[in-house]
Amino acid sequence: MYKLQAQAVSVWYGTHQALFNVSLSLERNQILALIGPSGCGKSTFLRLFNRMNDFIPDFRLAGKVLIDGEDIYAPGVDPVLLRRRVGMVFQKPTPFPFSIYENVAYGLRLQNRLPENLIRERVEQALQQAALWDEVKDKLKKSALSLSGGQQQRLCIARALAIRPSLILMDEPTSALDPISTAKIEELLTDLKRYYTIVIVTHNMQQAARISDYTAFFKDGYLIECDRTKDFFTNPKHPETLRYITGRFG
Amino acid sequence: MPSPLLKRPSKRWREGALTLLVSAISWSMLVVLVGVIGFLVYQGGKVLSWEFLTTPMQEGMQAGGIAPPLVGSLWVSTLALLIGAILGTATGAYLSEFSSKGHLHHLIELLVNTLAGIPSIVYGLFGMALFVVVLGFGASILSGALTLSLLSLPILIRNAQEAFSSISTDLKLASLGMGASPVQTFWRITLRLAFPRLITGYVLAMGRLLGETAPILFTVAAYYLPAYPHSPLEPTMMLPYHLYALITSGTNITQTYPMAFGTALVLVSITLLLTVAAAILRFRLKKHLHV
Repeated sequence: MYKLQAQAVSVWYGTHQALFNVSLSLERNQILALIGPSGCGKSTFLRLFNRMNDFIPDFRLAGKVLIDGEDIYAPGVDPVLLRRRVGMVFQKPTPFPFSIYENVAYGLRLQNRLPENLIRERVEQALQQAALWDEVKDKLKKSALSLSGGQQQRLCIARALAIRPSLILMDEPTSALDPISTAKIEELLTDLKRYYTIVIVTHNMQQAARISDYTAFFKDGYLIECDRTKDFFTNPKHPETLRYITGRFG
Repeated sequence: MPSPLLKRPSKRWREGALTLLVSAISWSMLVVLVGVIGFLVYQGGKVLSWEFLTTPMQEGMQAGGIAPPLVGSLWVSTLALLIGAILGTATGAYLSEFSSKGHLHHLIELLVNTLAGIPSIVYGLFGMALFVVVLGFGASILSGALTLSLLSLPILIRNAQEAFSSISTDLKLASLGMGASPVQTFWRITLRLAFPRLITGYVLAMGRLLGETAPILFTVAAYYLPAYPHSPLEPTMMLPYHLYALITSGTNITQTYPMAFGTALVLVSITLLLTVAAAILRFRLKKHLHV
């Protein structure tokens, strides 16, 4: 069974149609990169999987979005509970102005009261998975805002991992970071793949080529091409894809 | 002689003149404030003493202290602030965080704006009609506090609205993305981070309420009642009205004149103290919150 599937998905914001009849499937423990020029619908597509588009007024959807075979837009599905199973990392690091520890514990404290020692354990695990533990283990009570931009972004990843999601969505997670921090996060992603399925929006084609197993190219709301990353970049089937990856537009 | 590229253009004097003008105006504001307080201290400073603050009036109102109106003012304003803060913060939260920006939203916005433009004496009249007469609370601390809380509502609603919407949308979305419900996000992120600003608004509103005279005239303030209230259903003396009485109704003006200024000085000092306390509290809270 596929980890996630979009079946003939179209999306409107009011009268503006943002996605046209997009279908795509991804197996578990894979990284899918979404690329395309600004405004092509890749972020909209990403945010379908944790229903973050629901917050945009006049959002409308046709088609089906499935996670583990379950229709997440079916009536009776609680988007709040869905978001607890899907981690999200945004473009700009968004640490809460609390301590490092409380940031990672945030998602855990939203659910049933867990004993503090269990929370501490999960916080440590998440920070280790996000390759941040060694840098912060002596200052967990310090403000998260005292961290560098790259560390803040890894903290946000740790925060998303702490609730043990099965799917992680990333919206250009490295576009606000320097190359060294970017390299760290890319390395981290390839590690995380063992436990999680990851969908990542990126502006950076090299990044898509470096880290992803599948690449999907969007343009003007259409999914132009989706293929294994190595085939996608070496042997694109669609002329638009070729034009894009050779840098002729976008 | 600087090169032509670096040479100061002759029009630059305008910038200097404007800066000078703007800073001169702000300094003169400070002079006005210091002047007002200095004048109050000069006129009323000599009657100020611990006794003045802690004992009741004597010999009509020609001697003694201002304890009953001081206590009354604090009672009424605190209660008014409590009611106003709860209603105002809730309304502000609805407008900023929860409403779908439809007709109801615009209606409430309109009402708040209208409320803000109503003269305070009208609030007094309304409070008397509704709380004193219809609801039967009589001239009492409760009636006065309810009336004042209505007056404070527009300020507190706006304050809460601005405090909540000043919290970054990114953080609210990050919280929602973690699987926090909108209500959880409000309690754990928005309200928590907006708290320092809310507190400042509350304290400033309190300062404003302490000085209001018209809304308390017919709803709570007693002309002469040298006793302390035992329940919210009793009337009480209050500082602004006492000040008015001291200035207008005394027969021995040489004696009551300094007392009136002493009373004014106490009023202004409380407001100043509250403002300073708000600043300190906000600083502390911000540090605690790492913002």
